[in-house]
Amino acid sequence: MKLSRTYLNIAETYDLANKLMVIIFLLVFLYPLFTSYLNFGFSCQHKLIYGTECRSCGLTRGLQSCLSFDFSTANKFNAQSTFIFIVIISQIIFRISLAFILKNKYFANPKNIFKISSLDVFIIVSLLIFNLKYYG
Amino acid sequence: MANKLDKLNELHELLKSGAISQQEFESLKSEIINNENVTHNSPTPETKTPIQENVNKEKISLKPFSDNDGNLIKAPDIQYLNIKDISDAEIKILKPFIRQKQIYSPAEMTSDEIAIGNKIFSALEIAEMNSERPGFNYAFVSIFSVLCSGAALYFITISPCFIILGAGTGLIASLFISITTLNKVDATKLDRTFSYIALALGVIAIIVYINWGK
Repeated sequence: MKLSRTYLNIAETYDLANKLMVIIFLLVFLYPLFTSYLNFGFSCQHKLIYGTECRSCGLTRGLQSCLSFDFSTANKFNAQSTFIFIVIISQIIFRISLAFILKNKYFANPKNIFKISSLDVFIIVSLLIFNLKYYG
Repeated sequence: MANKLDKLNELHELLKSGAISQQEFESLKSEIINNENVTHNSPTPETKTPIQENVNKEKISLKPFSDNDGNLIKAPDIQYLNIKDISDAEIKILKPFIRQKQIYSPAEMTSDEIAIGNKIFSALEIAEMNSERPGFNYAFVSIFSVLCSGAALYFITISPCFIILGAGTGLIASLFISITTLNKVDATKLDRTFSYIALALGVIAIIVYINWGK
């Protein structure tokens, strides 16, 4: 092992995490597009194991309908598809804007990063709890 | 110069007295003149200039830095150093400075400081000092393991359609990455904290799956 200058400070680390999240949300956003254009998709693995439909069955078709702004059909496929679609869109916009905000050194100090990451975790946990409570 | 004349006079006296031959006189005379030239050009140790003193040493660049609390840490007053042969006294002065700089301000390390540090520290010492850094050494891996276990928990609780491809692979990847990171000698506190968070999320995902399956 040798000495090196390679080092990520807190702001750079959060930026990296933020970019990873952008990639994940973009992949989730693009997945329904790929499945519809390439006629490719996975059947429900829960159904294969347990033989019954799960709470996310029809979500891909629901998100496909959401992409064409047909929210009533989307809700018929899966009740939570509109909610998840809105969450994905808002998260992509929020994270891309955050990536630009963090380029400013004034905002990228450890105290601000701690506040932003705490808010981030709070939002994600709240959304998950809301999803579980509201959609069962 | 006076020394040279004295020696030549002495030599002339010896020739006159017949103690030495003309041939011996000539060779000794030329030897004195040549020797005198050399001593005339090279100063005695007491009168050496700093540049001549450091003829085997290279000019090195040690720069001050600020630690975590904003205190300025001054660089040791060493301008010339033979990096291939660093004395114990120099190591004693340089070690704490390079150690602190590598921990608190590695991005500001000069190439000389890195070269000296690699020479005076063992691989284990470097790994240990890297583990004391306030940030991440394995940022990508640590964050990725948390995201993987988070994804596993998400696929088990929210989206069970991907229970094998999503939750299964996420859980295995997260466990593998976090255990590997925890075994690294140079993993920092934050790296370890993130690995423990990933492990905790993984365990929660497994517990949720077991209860949910029932």
